[in-house]
Amino acid sequence: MSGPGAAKKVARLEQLLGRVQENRARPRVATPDAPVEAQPTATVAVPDRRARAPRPSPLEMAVEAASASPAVVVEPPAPVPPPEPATTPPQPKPARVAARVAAPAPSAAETEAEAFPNRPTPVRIKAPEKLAPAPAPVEVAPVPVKPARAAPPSQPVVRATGEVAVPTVMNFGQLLDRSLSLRPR
Amino acid sequence: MAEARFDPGGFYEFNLAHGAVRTRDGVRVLVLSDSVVAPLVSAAVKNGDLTPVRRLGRQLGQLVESSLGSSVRDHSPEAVLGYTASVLALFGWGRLELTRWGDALVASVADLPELDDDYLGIAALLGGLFSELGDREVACVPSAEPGRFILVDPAVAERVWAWSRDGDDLPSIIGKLAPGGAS
Repeated sequence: MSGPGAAKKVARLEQLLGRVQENRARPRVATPDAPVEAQPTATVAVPDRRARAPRPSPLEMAVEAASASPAVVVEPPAPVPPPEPATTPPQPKPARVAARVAAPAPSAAETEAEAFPNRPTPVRIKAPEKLAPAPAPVEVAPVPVKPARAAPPSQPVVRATGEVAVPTVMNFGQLLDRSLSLRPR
Repeated sequence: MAEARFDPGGFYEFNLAHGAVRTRDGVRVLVLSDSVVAPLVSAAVKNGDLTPVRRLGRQLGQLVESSLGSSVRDHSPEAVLGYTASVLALFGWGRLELTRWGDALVASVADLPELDDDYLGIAALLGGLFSELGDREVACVPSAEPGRFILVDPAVAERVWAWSRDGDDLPSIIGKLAPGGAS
């Protein structure tokens, strides 16, 4: 196979196998045989990008971002000193905010209840009832159990869907080795 | 064969005081939504480096190994599948099944998160996972059918990948393979 399509496939396969990591260790611009450069379209895009930006590492980018706005970082301490307790609105603690959010029937229902004391407020009761019967562990358990449950003692989960029957005595390593021994005819 | 079942109880330890989540093996993990991970994996595919995803697969394989207790290779396929599927499920990577087509092993993952169009992210993850379990390098090549991956030797992965990209379905790809055939 040849052409850009094939080169692209090879490049993607290299990603799949993690080989690109080795290539990355080398300077990319100086590797003409790198899988990415094998494809014409990608060759233009990738080196250009690197030529423009000389590979800023995440750390460098973080440093740049911090240095780009130094005033913002430095300034806050200066204006902060005299925070008047009378003028500053009381900031709710995170726990309180969470509690408010979690409350099923917010202020609307409360005010409504105050205005109409005889009217029932079923929302408050229903919400906890709906949430309560679903404990977290129950959700986790069924998923991992499924494969084991689906495997009766005599019948393996690994099913034979091809023409050849599955040999009964075979460990995982042998099964895997067989698959990995396959070669193009 | 009486095999021990995977016990999901206490798999995660949530330490609210320290704001950390760890597996029972002590590996610290982060809980991320798939909408966050998907662009990261897509970017990794575009940048040509899925090594971190493959490394994650190896870590999952180590969790399976530690749960099974001894060499994974010596266990029955059913036990390995049960434990592996459980660990994958606990990390939210979908429901794993293994199917055997003649000599070829095919991994199928249902309900997998949508990460990249070509399933290269999950393929890299499975590759790392089965490499760890098999004590040898394994390539999981995405087939034309979504969510199905053929486990092959990395030496032939390129050819299999080409067939798959050319639109060959699973039976025809496997039909082109033979045990120990000329590479």
